[in-house]
Amino acid sequence: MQSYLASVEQDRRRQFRRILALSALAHGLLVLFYAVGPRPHRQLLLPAVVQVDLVAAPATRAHRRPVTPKPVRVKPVPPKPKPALPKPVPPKPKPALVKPAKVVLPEKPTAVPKATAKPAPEPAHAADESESYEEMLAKLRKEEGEPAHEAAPNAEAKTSAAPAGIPTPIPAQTRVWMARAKMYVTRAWILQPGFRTLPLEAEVQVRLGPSGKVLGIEVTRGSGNPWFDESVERAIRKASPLPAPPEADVWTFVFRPGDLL
Amino acid sequence: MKAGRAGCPTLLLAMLLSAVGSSAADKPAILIDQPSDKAFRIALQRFASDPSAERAAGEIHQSLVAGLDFSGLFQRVPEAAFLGPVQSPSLDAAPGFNCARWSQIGSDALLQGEVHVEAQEVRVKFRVLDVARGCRFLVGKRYRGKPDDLRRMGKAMADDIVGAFTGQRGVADTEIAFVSDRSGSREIFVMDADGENLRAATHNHSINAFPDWAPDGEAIVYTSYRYRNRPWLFLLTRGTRSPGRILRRLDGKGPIYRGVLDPSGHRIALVRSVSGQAEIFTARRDGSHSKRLTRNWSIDVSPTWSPDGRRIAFVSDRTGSPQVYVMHADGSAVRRLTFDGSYNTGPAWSPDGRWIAYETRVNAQFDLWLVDPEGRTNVPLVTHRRSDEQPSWAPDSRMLAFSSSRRGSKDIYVIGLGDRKVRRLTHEGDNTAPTWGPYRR
Repeated sequence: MQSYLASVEQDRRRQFRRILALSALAHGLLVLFYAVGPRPHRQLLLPAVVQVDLVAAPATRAHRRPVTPKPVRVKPVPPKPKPALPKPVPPKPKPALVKPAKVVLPEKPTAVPKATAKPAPEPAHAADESESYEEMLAKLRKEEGEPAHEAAPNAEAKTSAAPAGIPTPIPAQTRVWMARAKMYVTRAWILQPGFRTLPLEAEVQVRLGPSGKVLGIEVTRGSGNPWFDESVERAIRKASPLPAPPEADVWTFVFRPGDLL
Repeated sequence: MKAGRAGCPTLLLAMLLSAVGSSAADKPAILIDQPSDKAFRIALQRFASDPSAERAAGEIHQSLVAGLDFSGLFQRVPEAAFLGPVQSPSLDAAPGFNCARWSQIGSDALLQGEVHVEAQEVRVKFRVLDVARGCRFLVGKRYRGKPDDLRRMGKAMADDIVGAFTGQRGVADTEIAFVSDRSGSREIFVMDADGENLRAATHNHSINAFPDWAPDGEAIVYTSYRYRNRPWLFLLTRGTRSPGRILRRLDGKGPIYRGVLDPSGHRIALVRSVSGQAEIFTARRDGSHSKRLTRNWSIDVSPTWSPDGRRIAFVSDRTGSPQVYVMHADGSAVRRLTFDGSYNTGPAWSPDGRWIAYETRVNAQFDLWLVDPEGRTNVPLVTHRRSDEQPSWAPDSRMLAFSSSRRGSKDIYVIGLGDRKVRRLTHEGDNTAPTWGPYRR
């Protein structure tokens, strides 16, 4: 009997030890699984980071979004970049980043490692320049006593011979007249189709009377093609009288067909 | 003291000129970059003539109008709009007319002329005044001919007027050779560039193909099966009825499928069969100095000379599909030109050297495209749901003739490079292989 009881007790202890060992093993495996096992949330973090930027997206969808290669395409800003790193390092997400709440990327957009690798984007620089240019222009206008000029000089102004690279602002009245004069001459200019694809250009100076009548034409820069230059002169003469110019004087016309075959 | 007197007006003049210059320089230039799509408006006064020459004057006038229309560059001012006389004054008389009467009706140019018929000779004089530039004299000529030449006189006049306005003579007075089966067999025909004055060049009841003009326009080289029922080249000289077989020194060296004369007219680029493969050769007209240019196991056909005679464009399937290539006239420096499309054939080099027209297969039919000789620019020219094939350039490089099946049967059409206006020239039978001749003497 005693021996039976002793054997039962031994069996119980053995069973207990086995269960204990199994339990310990299971716990150990569980700890190991959490420590080194696959972490789907690590990848989920990247889209979550992006979602911080996408204001319109509902917050709840961020957690439900499946793990896809999409986040990689979106060029996510690496979470918690280390400013001390000399080179841009591929994003190394850390366990701490698992919590989306800690990701507050929009606050530090300049701390992106890529920014250190590449020069500052051009638009920002250009914007600064244009700002300073506008300021400079405003100062000049102020000095000249001119009223503020909102409209920028039009395309024709680029062809004007303005000194020192600063385009002279064209009065609105002149700009309107130039557009009308251009229309008159364009309508009168007949050019054979074969010349439209050639790199021909001619400049003529036209003396206009107060009523817009053409008083004289001088080809100051010929195209090298006499038939082209003749067509230019013909156009000016046929367009006469042009609309009354703001100033009865010599005006320059540049003829440059822009067609390609 | 003298120096001071002389210097004073010089100084004043310099100051005046600088003032004018600076005033123009201070103003912005007005850029004109888009010409209008209008045609030159020309007023044609009726030719002054004796009562005996009225019929001739009317025929020349009609032909002149047709020639100007063909150019696509002119629009005639209707006589009803004239403020001046409809009849031209004698050209020997003093001008004494009011230019404003012609400029007020929107005319760019005014044509005046007179016709005289003496015995069997017709004499025509004309002049064109540049109305837009103060009725300045633009062009004037005299023609002499037989009463049969009235149509040609009118067209030559139209071509001269086109040349005066554009710097490049018109092509109304040129000819187009082509192949037609309208007589029951495939024969060579020739017509004027506007489709009129059709006549047969061959009548041998055999198969005739690929006509090509000699550079002087006095002969046509073509392929015919009339000799031993095998393809060979023949030369038909203007004014003779029996064509001569050429390249006799190449007898017994395989059939010759096609020949194209170089711009000098002395050499011919040939397509000859070598071991069953078509290869390109050059030779003199008698077959001497034969030189093989292509040497491979593919088919090389359709040679076309550059206007300077230094290069040849051709078609080869060496890469698996027919494509256009270009090489030096000695066969060196072969370079592929076309890369778009799987079937590009029929190259034709423009007389001004700027373009090579070719046909490209799209959805089982052909369109015409242009590629520049360096292969940098490749642009469509004629696209239609039916086939457009076998382009050939007019001598002014402003128009092309081609064969098209857009109306069912194959016909010859011409197209202007600028206005892209298509005109049909033939209306009977199947008509193919148009070849535009050079300027006539």
